Amino acid sequence: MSPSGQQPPQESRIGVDVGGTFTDVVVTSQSGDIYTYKLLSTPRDFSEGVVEGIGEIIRSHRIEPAETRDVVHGSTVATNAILERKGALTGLLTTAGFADVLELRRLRVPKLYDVTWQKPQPLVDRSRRLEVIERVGVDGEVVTALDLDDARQKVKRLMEMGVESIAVSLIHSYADPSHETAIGELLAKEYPHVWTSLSHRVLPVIREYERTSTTVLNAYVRPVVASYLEALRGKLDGLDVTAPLLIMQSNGGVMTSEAAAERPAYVVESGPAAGVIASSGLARSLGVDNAITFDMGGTTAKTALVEDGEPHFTAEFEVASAMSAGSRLRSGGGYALSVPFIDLAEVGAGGGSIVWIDSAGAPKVGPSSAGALPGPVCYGKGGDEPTVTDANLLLGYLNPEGLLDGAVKLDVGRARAVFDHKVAGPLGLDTQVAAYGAHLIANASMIRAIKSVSVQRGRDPRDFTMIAFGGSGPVHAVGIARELGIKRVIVPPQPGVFSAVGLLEARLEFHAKKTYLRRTASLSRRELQSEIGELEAQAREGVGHKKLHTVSFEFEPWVEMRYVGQGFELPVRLPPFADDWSSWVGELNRAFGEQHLNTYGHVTNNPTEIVQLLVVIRELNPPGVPASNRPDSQADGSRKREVFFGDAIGLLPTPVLRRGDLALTPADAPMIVEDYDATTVVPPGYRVFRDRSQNVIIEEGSA
Amino acid sequence: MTAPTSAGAAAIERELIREGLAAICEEMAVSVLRTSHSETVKSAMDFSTALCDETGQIIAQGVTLPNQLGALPEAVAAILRRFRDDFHPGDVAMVNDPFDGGMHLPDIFVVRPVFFDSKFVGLVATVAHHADLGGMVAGSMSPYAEECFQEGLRIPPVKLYSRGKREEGVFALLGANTRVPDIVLGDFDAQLVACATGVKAFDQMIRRYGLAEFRAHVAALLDYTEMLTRQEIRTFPEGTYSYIDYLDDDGVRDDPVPIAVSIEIRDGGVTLDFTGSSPQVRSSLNNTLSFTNSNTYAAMRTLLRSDIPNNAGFFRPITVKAPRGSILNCVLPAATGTRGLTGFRVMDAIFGALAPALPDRVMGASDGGLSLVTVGGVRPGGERFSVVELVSGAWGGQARQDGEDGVPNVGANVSNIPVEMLESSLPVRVDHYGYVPDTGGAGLHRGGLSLQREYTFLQECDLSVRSDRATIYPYGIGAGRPGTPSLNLLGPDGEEVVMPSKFSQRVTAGMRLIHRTAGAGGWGDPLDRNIDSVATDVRDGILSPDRAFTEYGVVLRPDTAQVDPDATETERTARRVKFKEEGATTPVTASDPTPLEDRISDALRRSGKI
Repeated sequence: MSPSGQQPPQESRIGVDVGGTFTDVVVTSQSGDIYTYKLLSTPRDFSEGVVEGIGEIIRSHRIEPAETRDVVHGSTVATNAILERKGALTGLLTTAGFADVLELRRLRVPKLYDVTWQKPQPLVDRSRRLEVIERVGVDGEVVTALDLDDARQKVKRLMEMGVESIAVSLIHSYADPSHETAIGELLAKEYPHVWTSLSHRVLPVIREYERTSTTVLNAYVRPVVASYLEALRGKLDGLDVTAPLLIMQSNGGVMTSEAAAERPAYVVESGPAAGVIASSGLARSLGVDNAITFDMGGTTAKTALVEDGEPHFTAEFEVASAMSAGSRLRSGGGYALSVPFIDLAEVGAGGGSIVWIDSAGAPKVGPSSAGALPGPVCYGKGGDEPTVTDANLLLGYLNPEGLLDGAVKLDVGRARAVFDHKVAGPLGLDTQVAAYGAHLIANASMIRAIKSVSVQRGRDPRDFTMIAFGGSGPVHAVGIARELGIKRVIVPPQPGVFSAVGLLEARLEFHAKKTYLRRTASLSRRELQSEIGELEAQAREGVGHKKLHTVSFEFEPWVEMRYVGQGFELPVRLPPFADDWSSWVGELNRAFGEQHLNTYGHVTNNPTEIVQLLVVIRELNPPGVPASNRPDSQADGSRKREVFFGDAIGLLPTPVLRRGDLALTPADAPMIVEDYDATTVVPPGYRVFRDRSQNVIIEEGSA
Repeated sequence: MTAPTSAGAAAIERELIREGLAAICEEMAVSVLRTSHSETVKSAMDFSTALCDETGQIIAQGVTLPNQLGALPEAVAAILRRFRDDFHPGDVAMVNDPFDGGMHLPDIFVVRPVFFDSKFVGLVATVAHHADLGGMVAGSMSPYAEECFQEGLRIPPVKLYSRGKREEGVFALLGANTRVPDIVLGDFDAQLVACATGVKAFDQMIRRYGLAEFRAHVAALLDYTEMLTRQEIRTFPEGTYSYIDYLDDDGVRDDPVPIAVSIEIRDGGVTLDFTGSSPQVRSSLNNTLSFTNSNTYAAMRTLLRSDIPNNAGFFRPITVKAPRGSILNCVLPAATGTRGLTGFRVMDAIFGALAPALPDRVMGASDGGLSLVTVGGVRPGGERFSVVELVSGAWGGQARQDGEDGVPNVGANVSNIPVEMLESSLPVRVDHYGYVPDTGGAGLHRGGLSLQREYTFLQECDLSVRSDRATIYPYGIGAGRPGTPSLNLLGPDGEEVVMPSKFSQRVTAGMRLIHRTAGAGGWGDPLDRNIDSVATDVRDGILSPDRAFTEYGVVLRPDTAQVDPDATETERTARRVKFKEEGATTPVTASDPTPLEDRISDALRRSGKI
């Protein structure tokens, strides 16, 4: 976050992050103050909670609604529509012979030896997947001309089945989109009310399953997202908030709500992105080059890498996969969505994960979760399976008086009784020793997730700083950091709503990509420049620039290339065009070689080829977020409680502070730092202080 | 870290060690995946990674290719036999010799010893399927090889590095014996990087616990694994169960090739005896015993539902016997290149045998294992091309669910190659890729459908197809019907003729290959199938109204294609009565493999050619 003093008074901004349980609203005022508000989400119509939250916060802090710069929104509307299968009745038109591509997928299943695994139901049943007579070849040449009468008939059949949204995905349409375009024109002319998604418009990229699946997802959620955004726009206008509505994408950038309604595939699963973007902003403002983000909530933990202030991207993602994201070893569990994603790993370990003993006596954590309801035993809402949160409470990590400043009461006695009965008893261990074991086992799966984004990508976690947030993140962060040799952990202010802050850190951004199969040696400068120019125009359109007259943008051209014959590509930033074409080509090959060396450990002199062109459009000089207000402190700064740090250290009387009580100079742990919405646990062997931006900084060693 | 003071504390440490070891193997696996060059490794994940103790026992394995996991112990044992007293820090050894630790020539094991305080304490191992090691055909897996000497380079345990020094001569030898040295040497690099990763992480782990405590935890982990395995096997009904499944033929002669197994379940252990299986064959379908072990472990794991760690403790309750000189324990000079197919059939035979014991866990036979379609040649400009397509598959019906359509065989969790990618690397056009209606065995829960992939060759190519289940159909379970056969058709457009399940041929521009995988077997009585499920299959166009009636006794109104529930009930009752009157019963067993006589005519009928 940029220090508030450096910028002149700015317009106020609003960020709203809607999750399954809570809606978080963050407002930065013209005077540089930052306010947050948390309320329960309204699943029947999420826009109600959004508007209620915004209304509440602008009233109580006297924000002038008409002078708001923008409203940045992260929403689970698209994701929920997929998870609950409440999207539009969708039809799919494919090239003759390929109606089953959507369902065949890439074949691979996510789990070995498990024949009870069931493939997710395709979002378009076979009866609504119709084939059209046409075929384009690999070089874009027409093999079989489009039979428009056949197409018209197939469309008619889909309309008779009552479809609301139609996806069109033809073989090699990225190379020659004319057949898709013709079908699009037919639809626009004869059925103007039907939603249309053409694959070359959604994702003009080679690999038919991924492109088709992405186009179908786009078609499936489009009416839902469009009507949600339209309703929200109306309600915002009703509050006199007329500023542009910007929507978070899965790549961590934002686009206008109009652009999101056109290509909702890009905003599916944007939830985890905001936390990573918030971390990127924090890392940039603190000058932290290498950071690992660690976001742990009630049901999952997510982790990503931020290098030089920027996250990494991937196009390999699956929606609604029950398996861990982030590992190619376990792909195949969900619906492929090949738009750019922030590359992160997610594991089913959260505060609600259930602790249990298997039939041969081994203690286990997860994968089942007590979720928000009934929740951990200690919440007293009927939960009778011990969870990680119960273990943390029994270890003294959480305030026995309750969470959220006492708003959520905790039943320690019941948590202990159930934990003893189901875990400690069977293991023959003291409550706390068993609870500590459960805490460590939960850590182990999160450590594996962090390794999957760091060690498995050739990075050494010891070179990184951890940024920990989410309701449970700061409880586990330091223990995990110690295991990985991470020497510094940062817990930002209001760790429970940090993701919402990330919305205001996000820049307008769009990644326009296109398959462009060419040998590098035979690239034509003129053609390449014109393709890139076209992609720049598409990127402008993608971000929704027409609504954003005052914003200035930068463009970054990239290629994805490989040695001829390789199955996988590497991204390379295009060098600036030089006068001498052959030296420019040499430069490009050198840049690729360097990337290949970093990734694979060697280079060759083999010929290379381009597979994809990519243009990234990005907002210049984004407004950012002012520093946080001074956090609250507590009168009784001398609170202590008994905290268990494992057999080797044992039970220690540990000072418990509010963030505001924390000194700006380091003090020795053990220590517990409580925020309204999270608890930071620091075992002995660390020093802790608060920086001027109100972050809690935890470093290895003594003060 | 203090020493564990109680069983409970040890259980916690053991769980942490298990997670830590699994993470190392996964790290190694991702390292191979990230740095390898070949399509086989990247798309098909045809590789594995493991950690072993100093005796060669596997203590953890990466989860990549099921049918390969159980073969590591033999390879590591062979390397230990050769180098046990001659291992030094910085050494790396390899082996692929099917008669000394290997499986078939393309699978090369790369193994590196781990030293702690200059004491030999264990090994890290990787095995990867390499793109080519010479021999009669590109890819080194000709079905027609009669001896291993025709198949390519045979490598006994040999060092790639000695005390950190690269054996340049050995690398030169490897490079000189492959058609694609860049890819093969690149994949060696990937294995070496993975081993280095593994050694480093292994060392860190031992350092953290101290050697003695680490070994104690590992021993406990293996015991725990064995206990978990035995515990579940004890829930299986004791007894002896047998079955014979067949390969259509060995690719040289037409006779079916029996894979026979007799399985004894007793006292928390399983003994599998493959006596009665075919003698080794004069083609390359022969298994080494190590590969038969591997297939057996994979099959048993599929039947077990516990979350069992991947280590040697799992192998202990399982005993495998296969006669020397048989197709499942071949001896020199057997060829082994295409034995993958035999491996699939070993798994089918085991499942078939255990159907009466575990009817709620055994599914109808699947597609029979993935087909290999290899296309190679030279472009007009002189550039060589060669791609192996792995075509699969379907699962059989099960007690509680239909067989999945469009999934890889449980023995080999591979991906398909996207049509658009294939066409960008081969002078081939794919005209069709999809389900074949009215395939798969009917049942209470039906078997998965056949897949069909149709190719048009755009220039002269060398085509080689290795498939099966064209004459011996995948079995059904109980009253579930057998699956439907695979099929190869080849010829100019519109004049395609039926080909055998295994063949190699030069094809010219304009010729078409239609390859269809077998449909999987059904489970349980089709007359008991939910009518709505039948109606859905009809609506989705994968079941014709005709077959809905003949197989399922479901009557559809001709005008609306809606189910007529009353007529259906009448029809089903009549059939049940008739069945009873005939005094027939259906024991819950795997159906007999379909007799040979039906073969070509049936294939032709189903292809619509007669």
